[in-house]
Amino acid sequence: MDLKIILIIIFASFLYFFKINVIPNGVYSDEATVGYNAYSILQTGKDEYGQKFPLAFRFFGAYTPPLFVYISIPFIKLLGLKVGSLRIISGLSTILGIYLIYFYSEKLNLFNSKASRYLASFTFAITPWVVFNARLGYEVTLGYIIFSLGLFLIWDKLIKNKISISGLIILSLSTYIGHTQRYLFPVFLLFFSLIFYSKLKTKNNLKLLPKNLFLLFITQIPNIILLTTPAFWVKNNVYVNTNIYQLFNDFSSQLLTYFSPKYIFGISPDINLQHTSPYLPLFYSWLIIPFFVGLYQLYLTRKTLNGKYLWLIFLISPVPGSLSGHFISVQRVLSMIIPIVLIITLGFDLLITKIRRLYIIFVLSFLTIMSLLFLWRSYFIFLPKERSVWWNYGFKELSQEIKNNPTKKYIIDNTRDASIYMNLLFHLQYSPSLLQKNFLNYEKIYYTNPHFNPNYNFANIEIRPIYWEKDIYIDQILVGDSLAISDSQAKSHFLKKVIDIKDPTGKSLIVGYETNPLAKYNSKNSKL
Amino acid sequence: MKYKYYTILFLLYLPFLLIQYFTTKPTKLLEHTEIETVEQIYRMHQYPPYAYRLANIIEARSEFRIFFKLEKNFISSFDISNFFNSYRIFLLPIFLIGYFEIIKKYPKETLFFSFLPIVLLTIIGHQNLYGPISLYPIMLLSIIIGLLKLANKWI
Repeated sequence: MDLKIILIIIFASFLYFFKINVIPNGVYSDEATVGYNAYSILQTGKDEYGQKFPLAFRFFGAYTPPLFVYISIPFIKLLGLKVGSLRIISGLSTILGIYLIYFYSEKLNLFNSKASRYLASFTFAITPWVVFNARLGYEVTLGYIIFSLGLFLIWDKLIKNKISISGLIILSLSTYIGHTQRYLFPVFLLFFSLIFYSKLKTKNNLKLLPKNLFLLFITQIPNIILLTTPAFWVKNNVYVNTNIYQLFNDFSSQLLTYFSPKYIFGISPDINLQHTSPYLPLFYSWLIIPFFVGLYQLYLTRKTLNGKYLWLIFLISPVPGSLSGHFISVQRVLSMIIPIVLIITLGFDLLITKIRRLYIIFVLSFLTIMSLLFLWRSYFIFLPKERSVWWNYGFKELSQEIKNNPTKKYIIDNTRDASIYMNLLFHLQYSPSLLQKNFLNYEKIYYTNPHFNPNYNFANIEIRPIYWEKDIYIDQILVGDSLAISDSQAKSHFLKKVIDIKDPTGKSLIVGYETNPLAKYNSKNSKL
Repeated sequence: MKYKYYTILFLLYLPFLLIQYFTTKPTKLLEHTEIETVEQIYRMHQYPPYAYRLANIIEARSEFRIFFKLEKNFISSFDISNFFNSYRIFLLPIFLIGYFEIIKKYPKETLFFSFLPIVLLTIIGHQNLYGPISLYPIMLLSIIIGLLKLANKWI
């Protein structure tokens, strides 16, 4: 392997693995549910609901494709049930992505200059959108990297007028990693077939077609089984009670937002602050210039095979994300990353030929240093503090408190967050076999998408809304956020604050009050 | 293209630039609003002790303050979801085709007349009731050229 790529990978490894257990600060509920279910499979062969080796994991009702959970199992076995054990997988997949871009830009002869191949890999490695998702403990990163691997394999064989069965199989397998790939695969197949039909209509390809279709069918058997169940169609619930005009409006506005340079190189349009890093765009703002240059290059080469293929993967990548609901989510369109990086590098490739090398090196070095400075500032300084609440910070500390007081009863309010139970299960490493006892005979209805009940009762914990009429008369600790239990409520019900978990900026996140039933009864009786 | 044609084009473009300038509430590059000051102080307190000097440079120095505002204004000029929303989405590929065709034929002139309004918007900002008027001529021309190109191809 080239030394320059090794150096890029070493540098990227630092970005992706440095303090991976503590930055982001907290364990997001999607990470906790993946980790706990992988832990459950490891211990019992069943998920949290007692389903043996599910074809799709129910989680909070999402029926997420299962591959990432199964891949997590050996990491959890080796490293323990920690968030770092899951985030490492995303980091390793992103490292693979760096190598893929280098390997295929060389093999497919995408750029005129050799330096552009390294630029492509380096741009990918340090892009904020990539770095952020390389440190996530759930399936989205692995999904887009494996999908991109499939795309590259197909691209490679397409040049020789052949169909890459390994590429198709990998694309097919990627549908078992994330929901996005499940929708992106058929969209890609459709447009790929239409655009390259004349190229692929060779005798050899037609001869191999039945075998290829059969192999694809085999890889899709689990999905075909699920197709007949409500579990497969959960993501389509957004289309219930929607008319075609509304659908078109939502689709077109979302598509435009995902393609808009303002949102790619400027302020992220995603309102879910767990998906982004503060004060940092998805791509560094100055990359907008090589992006437009690259787009122009792509327009000029639109009739070449490479040009057509790159247009195809660029244009279809946000389609599933644009069809998935009313809100913009940058995690649904991660497949846009690699086409955008390639387009940016096409721009660099042209600029390298037009501008003197010394100026390029000087300007790029300066801009890279400034970009890395802003990345460090945003991701390693601001994110752990400003976004900790979005990453469910505080539940590790709460779990420790609960572990230290096994004889006390805790009521934990879940009015504003239905996923609280999972954070506690994860941090407490609660026995999956005991939890599964709550779901006897659940296998019969598992894939029918039964109503999700976020209220749980395990160990010395009850997770449900606080019932003020009765909870204050029982000796227990009421836990919630600052909206669940106000100071005035605490005063009027004789509650004593025993838990106050603050975020890194000093703001109270989770508070817990011990009840005083005797005082409350006496107060009630004296009023009577 | 000859110098006089350049001058004529510039004079034709000038009214749009002037309207843009006079109808836009300019961004105060050197001053912070109250909210911006509070945010600045909040950010500065988040830096670890070893990076206090850097915090002073990035958060407090006027050069960075100006840079961040210019950066925001510059990027906001490329809000295609604003120009091509709803049914106008079909004009986006036509616009791109037309724009790239013009660049292919007249690269320097096109880039000059594209960057003029963008530079202006970068400096003065986007607080304008009528939107980025100074960009409309180049956009309209690109759409016309794009339509002609497609018509040429298919008719």
